[in-house]
Amino acid sequence: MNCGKTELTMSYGDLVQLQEDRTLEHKQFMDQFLKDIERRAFRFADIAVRNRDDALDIVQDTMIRFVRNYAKRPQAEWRALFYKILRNRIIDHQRSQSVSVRRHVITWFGYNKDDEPDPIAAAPDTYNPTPDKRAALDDAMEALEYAVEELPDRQKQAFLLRSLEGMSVAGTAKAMGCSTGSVKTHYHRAVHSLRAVLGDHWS
Amino acid sequence: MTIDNELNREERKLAEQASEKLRASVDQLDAATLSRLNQARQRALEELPGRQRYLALRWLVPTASAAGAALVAVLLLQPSSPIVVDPTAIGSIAIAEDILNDQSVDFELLMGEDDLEMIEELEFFAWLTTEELEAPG
Repeated sequence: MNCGKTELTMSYGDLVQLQEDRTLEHKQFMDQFLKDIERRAFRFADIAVRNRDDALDIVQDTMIRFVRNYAKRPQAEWRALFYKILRNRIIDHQRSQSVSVRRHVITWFGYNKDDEPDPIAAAPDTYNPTPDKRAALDDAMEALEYAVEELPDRQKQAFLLRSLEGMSVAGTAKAMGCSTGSVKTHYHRAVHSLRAVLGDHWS
Repeated sequence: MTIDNELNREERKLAEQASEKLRASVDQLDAATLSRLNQARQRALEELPGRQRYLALRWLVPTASAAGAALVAVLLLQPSSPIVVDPTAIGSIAIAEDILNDQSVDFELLMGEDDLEMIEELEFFAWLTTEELEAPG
């Protein structure tokens, strides 16, 4: 009788220990995932909102929402889900800005205009930076950032997810909530526009 | 067909250069930014589902078990517990009432070491009393 009680107690202890081990292991996986993605996510947000502190706040909020709501999803889905949340947070941030002095601030990633013609991409190149901006273009990275910043929202997202995050077309489509065809179109237009803008600097 | 196949040579080259520079910029973040990111990650990890649950489980179950055991003990030790004397089991409601109303019966004693034996014997004593009352003479 006493032996049975002892075994039952030990089994319970083992069960709790097992659950704790699994939780710890899960935490380690999550920690590694976030550690791996956080810098690129920050750059992604920073290029989008052009404000370091805002970008950091957005990344932190994204991390918390992701861990809280999607930690139990398969790890293969984590990256696309993370960027989906990040995209939404950036949209929220952009919408919260009451005054917009630049056209890209109006909306970030827009309203699912995947299949609509992109008037900005189709428009002739009217790139005419101010002297200050032109001086900044001496630096290739700044030139790239500025050019990417000026891209239409969906193009910018597709380009950064593919180029910065290194996501596949399918993964990018999941993160953007659109078709792979749309991703290809946006990415191609983005590269085409960047080539037109950066041609002199990136020969 | 991949998307890169849709780009011409210059565009493909630019895309590769852009990708390299963007990735390189990730490695050039300043210490303050990296520190903020680390703090953000630690803060997020505190939100892991299940972590708090299992921590709570570790204490909740033993505590609940102890509380349950205490509750059972209190119910068993309660002096006025109706399960101690069952009039129908005694066979005589009047005698049972006498026993229950008898202030000399110390129910605390019934809950002593031999409580179970005494409860079983109570039925015998009741029967014996009945026999004596009904016996002629």
